[in-house]
Amino acid sequence: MKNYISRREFLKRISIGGSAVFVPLTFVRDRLDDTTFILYSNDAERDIRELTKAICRDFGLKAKFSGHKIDLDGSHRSYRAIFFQEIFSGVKPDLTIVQSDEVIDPSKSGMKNVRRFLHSLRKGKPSRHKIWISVKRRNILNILAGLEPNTNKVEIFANGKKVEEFDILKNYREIVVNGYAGKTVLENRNGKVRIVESACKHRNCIYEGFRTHGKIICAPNKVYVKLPDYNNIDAVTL
Amino acid sequence: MNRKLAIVFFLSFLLFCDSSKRFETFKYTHFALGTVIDITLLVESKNADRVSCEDTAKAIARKVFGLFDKIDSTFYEGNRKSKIYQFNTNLPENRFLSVSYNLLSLIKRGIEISRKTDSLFDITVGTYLPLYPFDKERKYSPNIDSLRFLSGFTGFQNILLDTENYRIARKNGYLRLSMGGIAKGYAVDKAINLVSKYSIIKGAIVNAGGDMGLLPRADGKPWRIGIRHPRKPGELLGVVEIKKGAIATSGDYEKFYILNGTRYHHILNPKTGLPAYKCQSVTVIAPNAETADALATGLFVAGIRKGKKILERFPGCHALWVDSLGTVYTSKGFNKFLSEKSW
Repeated sequence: MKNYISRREFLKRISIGGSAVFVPLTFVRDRLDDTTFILYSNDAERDIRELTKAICRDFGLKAKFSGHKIDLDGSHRSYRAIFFQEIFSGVKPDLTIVQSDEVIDPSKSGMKNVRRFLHSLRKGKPSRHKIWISVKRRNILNILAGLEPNTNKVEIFANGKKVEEFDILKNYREIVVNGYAGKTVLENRNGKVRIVESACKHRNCIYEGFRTHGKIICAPNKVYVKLPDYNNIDAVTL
Repeated sequence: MNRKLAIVFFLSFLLFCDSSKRFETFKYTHFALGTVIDITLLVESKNADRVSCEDTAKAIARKVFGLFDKIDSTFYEGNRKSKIYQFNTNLPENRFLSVSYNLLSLIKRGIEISRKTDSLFDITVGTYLPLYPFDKERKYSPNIDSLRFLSGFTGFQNILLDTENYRIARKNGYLRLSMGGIAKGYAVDKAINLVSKYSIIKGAIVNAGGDMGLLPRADGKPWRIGIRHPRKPGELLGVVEIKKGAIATSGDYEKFYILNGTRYHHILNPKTGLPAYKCQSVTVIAPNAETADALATGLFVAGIRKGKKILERFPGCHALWVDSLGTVYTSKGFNKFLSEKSW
């Protein structure tokens, strides 16, 4: 029996329904470990509710959002959403979303109190899956430079010609373009784009991973993906 | 009386509005020097329609791209037609190869920067590159013994320059030049020079894979340049506001692979041949892109403590380091350019 779900698997399953769960939030930018996310938001409670709803919608689950808002040391707040149906095969269903004002590493001992608190909420039964979400307040830099793109347009150029154009916020899709050396396969998911396969030998473009802004370049295959620009920024030095 | 005055003010305001200059921004992209070249052109559109402005901007961009292609075919070691490729692959020991004046002077300037940076920036670092599988599908770690062996053959002292007849030679058959740390900056400076000759252009950014040259905006506003976060793709570390000059970043995230938990990237220590490990990225603001490009590489290898000492030898240059733990350090002058920061 699998007690642990990887981030990759979680994201894979979460987009089964075809709707990009994180798109309405568009704040999930990074993670520290497999089940930790950083959420940039000014209204974390609303966004976590949205996330819960989206998970329920995608998996056909009923959720009870208890909305507990209890201060732990004046800084930590917890929201609890328990799913009643099975999410992952063979695993007793339950899932807890924990929100914190600080970046949490669940493996660290400093979180013992939070874990104990959560366990007590479950009446001695620890939840199998936890999504730890660290909330960061949006600052001017994020608003101006990072989080809100000018447009959502993604343009793909191959051999100097524009071959594809689409909206970054659209549902999951795979795009295949013919470059100088062969095919390049791109993936658009959850408001992010990455190169999955490439005919180049470098593979540097694949190592780049998901991107939300700027550009993805595959120089040997002469494929250039122009992602939404940063707001109020003329250029970015790489 | 007051009404008349108001009307006069209103009319003069309208006149002022009519004569005020408007700027149109055009962006173009091209592949050269193994990277993407982005050009942003600011064109004055006073009494002229957008279409004609766009045509002019396009024609200028085409000329700039032509310049990059020319530099690519002579200076870029990845281009088989280039002199550097010939030097690296076919040239026997101590035999001279005729080169252009521009290439010779660029090599000389590269050597000059090598001396100033205590050989932490070195164009002969290309000697080690065949040991790294950056261009190969199967990734492996470089052979340490081979690196150690080659370290005896690197160094700018092993380049022979014949400045009178414009010729270069290598003292040993292992020596290879890598102009990647300086050629992009050189090309950017040339491009900015070319663009500045057109009076219709009221500001420009030439960006060759992160090495940027800036032509001042006619409206007096600074250019806002974002600095990429070395570990969070898509996020910015900060924003700097610069009116003119150049800015370049060297990072360990551009060309790399991770094997058994070790990150092998393309910025190598010229003395050991191993990837420099002290920083994640270094951003340099300098009067020209060539210096900015080379210095960013040199300071990346040097780290913070030594880098600050080296920086003092380059007047008008400022730097920002992100060390291997992600901590950000800046030189004294850098902060006055910082408009926003996320650390």
